[in-house]
Amino acid sequence: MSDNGGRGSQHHAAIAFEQVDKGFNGRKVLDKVSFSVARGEVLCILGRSGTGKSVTLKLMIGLHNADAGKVLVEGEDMATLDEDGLVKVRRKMGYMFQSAALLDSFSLSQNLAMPLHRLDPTKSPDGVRSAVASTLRQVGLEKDGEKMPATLSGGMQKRAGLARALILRPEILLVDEPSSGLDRITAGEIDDLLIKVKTERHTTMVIVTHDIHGARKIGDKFAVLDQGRLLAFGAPKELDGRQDSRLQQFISER
Amino acid sequence: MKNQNLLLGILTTGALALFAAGLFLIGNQHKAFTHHVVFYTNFQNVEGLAKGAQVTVDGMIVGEVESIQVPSGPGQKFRLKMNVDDRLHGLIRGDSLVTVETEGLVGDKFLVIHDGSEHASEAPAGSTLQSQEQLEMSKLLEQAQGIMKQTSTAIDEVQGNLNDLRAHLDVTLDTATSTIRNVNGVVNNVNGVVTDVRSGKGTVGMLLEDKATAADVRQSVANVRQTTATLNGSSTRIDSLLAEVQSRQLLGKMDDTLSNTKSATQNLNQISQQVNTTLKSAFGEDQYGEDAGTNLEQSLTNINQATGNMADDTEALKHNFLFKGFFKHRGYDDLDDLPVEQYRAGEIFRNVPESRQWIPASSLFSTNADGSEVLTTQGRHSIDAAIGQFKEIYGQPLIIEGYDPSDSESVELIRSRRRAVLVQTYLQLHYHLLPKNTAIVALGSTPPTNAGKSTFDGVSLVSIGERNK
Amino acid sequence: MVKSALESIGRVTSFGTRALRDAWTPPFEWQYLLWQLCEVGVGSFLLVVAAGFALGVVMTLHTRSTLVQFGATADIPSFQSLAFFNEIGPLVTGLLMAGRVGASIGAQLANMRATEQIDAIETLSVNSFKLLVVTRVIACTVMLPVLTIFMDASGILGGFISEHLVSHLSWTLYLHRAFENLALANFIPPTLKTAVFGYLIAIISCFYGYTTNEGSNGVRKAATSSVVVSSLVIILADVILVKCIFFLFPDQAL
Repeated sequence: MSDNGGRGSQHHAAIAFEQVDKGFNGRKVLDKVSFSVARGEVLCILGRSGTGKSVTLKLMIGLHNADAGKVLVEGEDMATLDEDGLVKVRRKMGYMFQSAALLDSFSLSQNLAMPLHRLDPTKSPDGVRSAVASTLRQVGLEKDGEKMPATLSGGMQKRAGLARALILRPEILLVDEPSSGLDRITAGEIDDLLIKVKTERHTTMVIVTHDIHGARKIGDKFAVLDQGRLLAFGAPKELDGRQDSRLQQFISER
Repeated sequence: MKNQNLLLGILTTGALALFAAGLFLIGNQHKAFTHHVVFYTNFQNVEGLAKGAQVTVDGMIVGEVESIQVPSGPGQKFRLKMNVDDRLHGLIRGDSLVTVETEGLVGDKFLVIHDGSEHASEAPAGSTLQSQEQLEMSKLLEQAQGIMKQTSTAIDEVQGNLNDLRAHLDVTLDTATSTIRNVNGVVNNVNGVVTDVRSGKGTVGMLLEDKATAADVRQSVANVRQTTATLNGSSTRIDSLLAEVQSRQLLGKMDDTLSNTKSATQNLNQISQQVNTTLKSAFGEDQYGEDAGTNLEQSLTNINQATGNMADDTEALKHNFLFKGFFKHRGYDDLDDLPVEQYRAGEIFRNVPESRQWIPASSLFSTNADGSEVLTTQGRHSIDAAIGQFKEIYGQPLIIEGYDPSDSESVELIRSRRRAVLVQTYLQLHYHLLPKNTAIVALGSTPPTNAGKSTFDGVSLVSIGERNK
Repeated sequence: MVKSALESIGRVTSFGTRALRDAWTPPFEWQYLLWQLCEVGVGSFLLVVAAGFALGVVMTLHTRSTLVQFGATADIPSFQSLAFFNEIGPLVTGLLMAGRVGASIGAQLANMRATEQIDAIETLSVNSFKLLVVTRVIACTVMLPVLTIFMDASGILGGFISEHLVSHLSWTLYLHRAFENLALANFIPPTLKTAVFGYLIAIISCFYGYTTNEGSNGVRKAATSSVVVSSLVIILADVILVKCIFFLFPDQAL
């Protein structure tokens, strides 16, 4: 909290990347990437598969640490946080995984209740139950609370994953490929849910996607990653005006 | 979730119950001696005995060795602390002995507390009981053999002399003196044995401590007394002395007893000298009309038996469990006085071997004025004839069965035994048969069922080796 | 080769010490621990009891045929109980558990890692190590002795039934003889040493499952490695533990 020099320059940006490098087994995934997301803003990160899109999300929530550069969330350098600090930051964040990543040994309700139990021990069992029920209702799964994740369809799992990400009413929502593996209609449903969250709660969102159609519906800004580098960053309209054929490959709606 | 808790609860409870049961079962076996008294004992050699080894009294497990205190220097002994069940306290007396034994051939070592004697007072809790070191087998055998050799030489001497005696019915003073000298020799031998014991040679020490052996010793002493009584009409001195020896508790009072035994044998020496003079002065027929020769013969037979007991029989290692096998190997457990019931039950008795020789009483004995029987010359010839039927008589056991049909069973037993003794004496003297190879058994009036007779009056000779050929 | 092996040992060691340390610091995952206790204990109960019973029968058949030659059939219960309480019960329970629990832990955690469930737990501000590893380590450490007691008991029961059918020995006498030569040192230390087995099985299996990152292939490898390595390690550990028991209870080393 003391020596975060970059903090002032971003001026309370929700998330800021400063010259972030990240590699796995010698292969560079992110190469000097810098951008920032303002509060209430929705950023869509576009790019091909395997270009480090998901890694940026994991860097934001501290599942990975940057090899070089800084990842700031609410002004906190994720690399310097201890366990408690990390818990504090993560409490403000929700993460929706590509594969939903529901704990397959627990029912849907138990999956949702898990963070509630731990982060708010004062909450009564009834309070937990009603919070779980209302969140499930939000994503349209109110009847499926007792089902096990494995018995749910792909779309339902995604919605359940979203519900779990939302259960703590996060200020920042990180979404990894909300529409992957889903048919168009189901993907549209998920997008609608995200838009609903955006309009109702003004949640800051970072959405990693390759579905430009959905991205255009929801995104305030686009960040385009190509071979580990930030190819472009800006509002969709602004990017549309750029004469860069590679960029247009990513952002045009075919 | 509820179901899960229930299952887990059942599992945990079950495990705890089993665990407690295990603890209880184990604890039970080891804490069974909660009401215990503590005794101590000292051992030079603990024979690999370990802490927790069992302690038994009369074959009952009554406790365990609680601790073994290691000696601080050479010459000192291990001090064993034993916990013994309170209920068995009454059996443990001041003169109880503790020995180390082995369970079976290869089993655990354990302690045996031998019963004390009736007269000794109960050993107080916390007292130290006397211990009995285990002897090395080889040492034991060596010593036993030595004694056997010693004794048989002595007996051979006596026998040789007796042969002379018998040959010349006119007993000369010289012969008598030489006989007495030999008696002295026997006594000296006994003395030697005692000295050996005194000097710490373990065998006899062990033998005397053994209860059964003690009985043998007592029997021997009784025989010696019989001897001296016959030799010297009546010697109140030796009588009282021997009575004292007898009355003494041998067990646990080794030193006392031994010194007494020693002094008794020393007295025997004196007495034999007295006898010497007595014989000189009163060399004629005694009040029963038996001549001195017969008396001497009888007496020497008794000495013979006495020393035989001391050597072969007193070498009653056979009463020591260690040597059971040794004697079993010899084929017969005890060849001196066979227990009648055991003998009757035995194979030798039931299957009448062809080598059995029946000699009727009429051709053996004549009756004295006092009613006692003596072997006649004709009797000797009859025995010689019977012996002639055997192919081999040396180096193998010969059993002499005495028969005498009388009014009462006890009289039958006494008389039949005497008959067997008379024949045995003759056989031992005349044929130089070793005492250990001749056995007598008093069978009253009843011969083996398949012998073809319902009663028998006389003596039957059975050669065991013959049968085996 | 040697270097990488030593490195692995170092990593497992630090993994194990971390589990030991984290077991004593809050938050405690009671609910999950209870579930794991049930999973390990109740789930393995039938396996252990059945194996113990069969082993008890077989052992008695073997010892009988040998002891009959020495006329020492009276010692069969004693041999049976000594063998079971001292070594067979603890070791076979350990090996069975290494197979059953080791494989399941390895596969389960590797699968959770592959499907980002572990990451998901982290994003929910839950310490995944405490939730997944520490609870399993505690469950195995606690349940192994419990299962060993059942193994011992069923082994003795199997031995009794086998012996009873042949010699019509009564239950009371069998029990008396079985415990006749048994000291507490034959019962308590060998039973408690299985706690070490449980700890080792859990640590090794968790290590392979928790640290893998190779997708479904990682699941297979983690399951195999867990079983192989934990089986081997508990046998090696047994050598040392038996030596330790002899050292602490010299009476048993006769």
